[in-house]
Amino acid sequence: MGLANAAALLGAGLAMGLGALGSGFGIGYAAGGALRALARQPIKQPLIFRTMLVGQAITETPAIFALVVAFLLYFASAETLDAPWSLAQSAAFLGAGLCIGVGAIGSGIGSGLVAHDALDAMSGNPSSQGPVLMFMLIGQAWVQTGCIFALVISLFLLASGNSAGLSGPEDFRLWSLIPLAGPETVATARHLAAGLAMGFGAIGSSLGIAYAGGMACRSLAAMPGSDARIKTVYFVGSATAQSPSVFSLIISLILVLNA
Amino acid sequence: MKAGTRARAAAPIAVILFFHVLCGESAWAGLDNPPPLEFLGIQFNHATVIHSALAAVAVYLLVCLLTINLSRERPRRGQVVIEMLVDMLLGLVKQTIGPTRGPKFLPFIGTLFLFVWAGNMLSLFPVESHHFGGEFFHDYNRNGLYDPGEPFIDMNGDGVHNPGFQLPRLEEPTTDLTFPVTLAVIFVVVLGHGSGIRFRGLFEYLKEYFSPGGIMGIGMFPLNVVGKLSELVSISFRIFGNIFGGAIIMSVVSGLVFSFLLPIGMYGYFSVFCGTIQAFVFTMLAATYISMEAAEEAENKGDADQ
Repeated sequence: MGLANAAALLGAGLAMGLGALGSGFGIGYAAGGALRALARQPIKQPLIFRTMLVGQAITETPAIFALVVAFLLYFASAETLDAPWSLAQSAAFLGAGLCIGVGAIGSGIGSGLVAHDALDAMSGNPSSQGPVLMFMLIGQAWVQTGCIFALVISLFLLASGNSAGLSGPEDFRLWSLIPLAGPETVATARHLAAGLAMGFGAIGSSLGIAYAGGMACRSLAAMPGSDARIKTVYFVGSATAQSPSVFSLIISLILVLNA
Repeated sequence: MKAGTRARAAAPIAVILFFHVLCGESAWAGLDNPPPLEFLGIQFNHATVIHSALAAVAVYLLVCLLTINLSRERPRRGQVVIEMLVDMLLGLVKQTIGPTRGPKFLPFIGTLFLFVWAGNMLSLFPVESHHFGGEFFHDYNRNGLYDPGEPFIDMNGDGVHNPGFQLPRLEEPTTDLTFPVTLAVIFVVVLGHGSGIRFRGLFEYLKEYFSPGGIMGIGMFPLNVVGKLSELVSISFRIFGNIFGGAIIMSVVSGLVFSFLLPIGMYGYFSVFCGTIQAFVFTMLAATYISMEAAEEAENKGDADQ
């Protein structure tokens, strides 16, 4: 009794603690970009302030996802108070927390990078504000795709944790800590591996797409009117940069669904 | 209001009343938690069905109200608002999809934005509703079994149902995943891929799935399919997670802090500000995904400009 409960609480803490890391940095970085833009274009203060607020609101998304999973884990922990001692269930809860927590780091930082670059580009050429704002929103949305994959895997892990907790001994036994080759151990490994695969797989793609999005904003401001050509390269490039996190998603889904 | 306008406005109200009758009781008067609708073996969430219909009716009535007595010489305040909105959306579709094909998609894109936005604004109305959080919190008791009675919500972790968590507010349809997934299927799959097949032909459309070509192409097919599916996942989970997370934060803070001012500020931020931004992002991403399938030729246009 209590292992799944403890794992769910630990997962909730990990999810929110790690998940707030990236967004916190990103929101501040966007504010820094706004201040730098303000130094170049003091007259455009309302525009810069508005853009900063919109960018920050979207940068907050990974932290909100982490919060959703943390609350769901918290509710799950209350429901598993008298659940039997199940390693697989505990691993599912811990994996869910780790997955969204680690997966939100890259997306949070990356969204802030895009907002920073967009504000910087906007201050260089204020007449291009409309297309730059659109590129910023698209870029931030794509940066967060990795984090959304992590949210999906976390919800899958939560669901399988809520349904898989009925096997195992009633109370603490020393031998349940010894890894034995059995379905329970395999399911434990699968749950943890799925969370880790998607969580770490989302970081790099998000940061890479963030770089592409920021540079797209900058080159759009440098060459106004050529947005159709930039768009082609930018969209295809971002889609290609997304593929590593898609690999992670496939492997994580295989791991979760077979567990 | 002219007679024709009144007759048009009456139709959605009739639809709502039909839902009302179908559900058997007043679902948004907070009387009871009705059992889910079942049709062809699929369960439908009451709150989602009714509240999305409510949002549709609200949009319809709002636009009807803003477009009466249109005048070219002396536009009224409502006309200016609706013209600004249409201008903004027209600029959006022209910029993403293209100057000639874009305006064709304006009715769809504009309706999508207004519908999702009105759905997100529903939480501002303090009408008691038993549903919160879609299928995650509701109708399932502690053992995971379906229980259509009181929803089990436990804030303190002591295993006791704590109804102080619930708030008298209309639940946004976006807090149920089915709503954004349905819209994403309509807009990305039907409109986007449909117009991709229409504008480029079936062969050119299918060739994209074997994108690097050659021997590599056959191996890349499943990855490309997953890549296309991830568009659907990303667009729908984004708005779901944001609105659901905002709803959780607002409910928890309002339930724990017994004050007036803080929840009002949180509604202003999470419901009005974030709801509007997320509705716009959803619309813009839908337009972007359509443009990836149906965009006009970029190179020729750019060269013609010079």
